[in-house]
Amino acid sequence: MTFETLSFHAFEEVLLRQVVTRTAFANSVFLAAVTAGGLLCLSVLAGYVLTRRRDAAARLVASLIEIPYALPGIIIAVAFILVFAAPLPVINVTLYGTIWIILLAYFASFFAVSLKPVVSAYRQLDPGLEEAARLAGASFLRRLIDVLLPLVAPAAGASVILVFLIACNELTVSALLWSAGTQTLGVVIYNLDDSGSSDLASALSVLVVVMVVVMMLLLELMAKYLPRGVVPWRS
Amino acid sequence: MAKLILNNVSKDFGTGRPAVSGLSLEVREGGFLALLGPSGCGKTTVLRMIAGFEAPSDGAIYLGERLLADSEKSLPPERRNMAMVFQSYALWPHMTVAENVGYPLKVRGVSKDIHRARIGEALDTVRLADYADRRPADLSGGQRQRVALARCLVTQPDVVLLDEPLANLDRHLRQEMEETFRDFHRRSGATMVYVTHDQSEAMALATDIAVMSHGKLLQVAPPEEIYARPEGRLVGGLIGRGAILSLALPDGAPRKIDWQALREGLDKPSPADRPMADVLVRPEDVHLSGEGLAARIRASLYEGERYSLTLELDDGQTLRAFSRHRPQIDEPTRVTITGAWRL
Repeated sequence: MTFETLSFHAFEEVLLRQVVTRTAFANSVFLAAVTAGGLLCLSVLAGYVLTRRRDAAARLVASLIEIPYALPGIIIAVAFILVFAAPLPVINVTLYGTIWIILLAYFASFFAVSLKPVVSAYRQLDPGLEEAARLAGASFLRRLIDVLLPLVAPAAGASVILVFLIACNELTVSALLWSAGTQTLGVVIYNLDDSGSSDLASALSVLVVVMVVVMMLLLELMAKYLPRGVVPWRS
Repeated sequence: MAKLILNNVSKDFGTGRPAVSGLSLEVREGGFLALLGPSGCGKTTVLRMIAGFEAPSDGAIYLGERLLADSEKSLPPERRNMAMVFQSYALWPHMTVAENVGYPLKVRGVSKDIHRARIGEALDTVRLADYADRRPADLSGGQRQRVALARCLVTQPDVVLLDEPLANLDRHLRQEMEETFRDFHRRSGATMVYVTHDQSEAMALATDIAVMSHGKLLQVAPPEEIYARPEGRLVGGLIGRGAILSLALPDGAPRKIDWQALREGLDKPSPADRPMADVLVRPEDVHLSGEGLAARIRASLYEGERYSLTLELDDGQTLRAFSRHRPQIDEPTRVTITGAWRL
């Protein structure tokens, strides 16, 4: 590599000429955001139930949540193809080939990632904090909003960011589930590299890094409007 | 407000031994009951059943006419109009002192003006008005406990439950907080149930003391009564620092025993027809003097205002006594006992 061969041509090509780039950014950000947000809600509720109930059923559910994360992404993808290739009964809709099958697979894959920090935050809470709120007369929803959520917020914030970043750069699950129009960033980078355009693949990878940095900066700017401790790198 | 009644309440967590069994107890309206017992005796379980965090496996809990819980159904804590002070304070760290105190009002949807006035009043009562905008983390242990108390104060609860609230405080602060609790009880007139393993706390605060051991209620009585006339070996051993002697007493002897009867019982080799009885001797009734029973000083502990002695009688039984002067260990001495109580 010399100064003569140095150019921004690859960025130009990826950004301006390849239509698939924009689709991939949109898909990946959409998938990652919905996965992170959806799993946050699920984790906050599931984490509460799993820490309060310590019976066999709770342990079973906890391990069911963890299994997909332990399995290779390819296996999750194949499983989802097998289940959703045929149209869904009753409503007669086929998920296969749409972006929703990727979303569902992400939910299954990353539930464990999202749940872990939230559960450990719940475990560390003094049960007295919730009991005091119960005696104060607060219903479950009230306690969740006023007491539990602010207290697990730091862990929940870390969990959202973690899931978002992993889902944004995910390859193995979407590699089998994508079709025309539902490519993710991982798939596009892989395909570019596979078809010999490693310069374009590299350029896109750099852009993904830039996107992540920009998002972190945005979060930093928003930090003062978020509950304390939600942004992990600010104490 | 009304009487709190526990009727034959049991709780079994399925561990083989019930945590509480067949406990019946009445706390009169405006009473201050201390549940006293060693750790693991089930007193906290009783408190948690009153609060509604645990449902009794058997028996029933009433507040006046209203059924709070029985083995079938249990009114949830959020609908019992009770308040609790926790050993860990249980203040919400993300709220300010004023928000913590005002939360029960906020949940009840009390209007803003009344809300603010009541918070001010409650904080004044515990002398924390200047700290309204601080966070709990910025306060000392005693201050935090006072915030927790103020949080109980705002809603005028029917029953205030206190779960070893002073266990995490140092001795000096405890005395101050005891004063605060007494004052709180006098002002609010609320029925209070106070769980503790510290008998001096229970004596100082409560109008009645319930002594528990191994999930069973042993005796309920006012502090003076329970100190002077404990029922049975367990209560006698738990309350105060008395020594329990075993001696032969004639049948039908009064429970209050004087020096004469005591000496007779200890001095003579016990006749076969006299049953042995357990007798509680308080250290303040044991006097070191030139006459009386022969004894040996086995140990002494300096407590500041006096020495606390462990004595051994000739027949091997131990006694406790106090002394103003530094004793000689293993020195033979003589003691007179001015009074004792048959358990």
